[in-house]
Amino acid sequence: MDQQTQEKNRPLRKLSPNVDVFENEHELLVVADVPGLDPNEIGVHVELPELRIEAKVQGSPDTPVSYVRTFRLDERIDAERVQADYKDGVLRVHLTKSAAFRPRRVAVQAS
Amino acid sequence: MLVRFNDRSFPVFSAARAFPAQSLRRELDRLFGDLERAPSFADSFAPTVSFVDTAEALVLRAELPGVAEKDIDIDVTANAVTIKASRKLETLEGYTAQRRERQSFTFAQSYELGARVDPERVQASLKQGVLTLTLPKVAEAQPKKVTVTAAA
Repeated sequence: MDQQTQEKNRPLRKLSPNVDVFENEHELLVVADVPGLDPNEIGVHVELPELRIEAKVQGSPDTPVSYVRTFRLDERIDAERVQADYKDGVLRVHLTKSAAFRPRRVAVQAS
Repeated sequence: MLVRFNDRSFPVFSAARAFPAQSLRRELDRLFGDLERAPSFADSFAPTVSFVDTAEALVLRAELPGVAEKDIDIDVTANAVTIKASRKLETLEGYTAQRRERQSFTFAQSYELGARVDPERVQASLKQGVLTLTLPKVAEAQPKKVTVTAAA
């Protein structure tokens, strides 16, 4: 089947996955439902102030699927320290806050 | 557990055509969900399910992200398959939620099959949140190749 025929018959389904975002004092945690992906095909791009998650499913027997979701991050995120894992069709992206924005306990010294 | 028969009691091939309606429902869920997470909408969650007909088998594919194997029940008869699946989203210790779009759900759906299958030979696998169910057709339901012989 040539490319043109395939595009006509099977348009790329673009989906916006459902996402939860959690926060604690150390990080933001983004959790997305993106089933059926090869972990190597998942793109997590951090270009401050933007986080973009995108993935394409090719070669599946179904209509090819593309997931795209973009978030605006604030300056608290350290772009160098982003970790992602993928399990059971659920993507988790850990976005570490920059040290300067994490709470630090300051001891009060008696004079 | 509630088993919901789809009111569009469709043969296998219309299952794929029913998808846009489910997609719309999902979008509506999301719109309303942004305003307020109404429990009644969570109940209507329907994962994406599609069927492919190969000559030898019907292959069902259901997207069930975050669902554990033990939380999936499949019942197959010669002409129908029922899928039940559920997931309960855990609350994360020590985190506050900034956004919640993912839902816990309990899903049950029966599908009438367009061909007779052999329930004994059904295979199910769950990989990266996708359930694949291969339902081999009985021999009579498989397409026959008819050889044309030239008349003598």
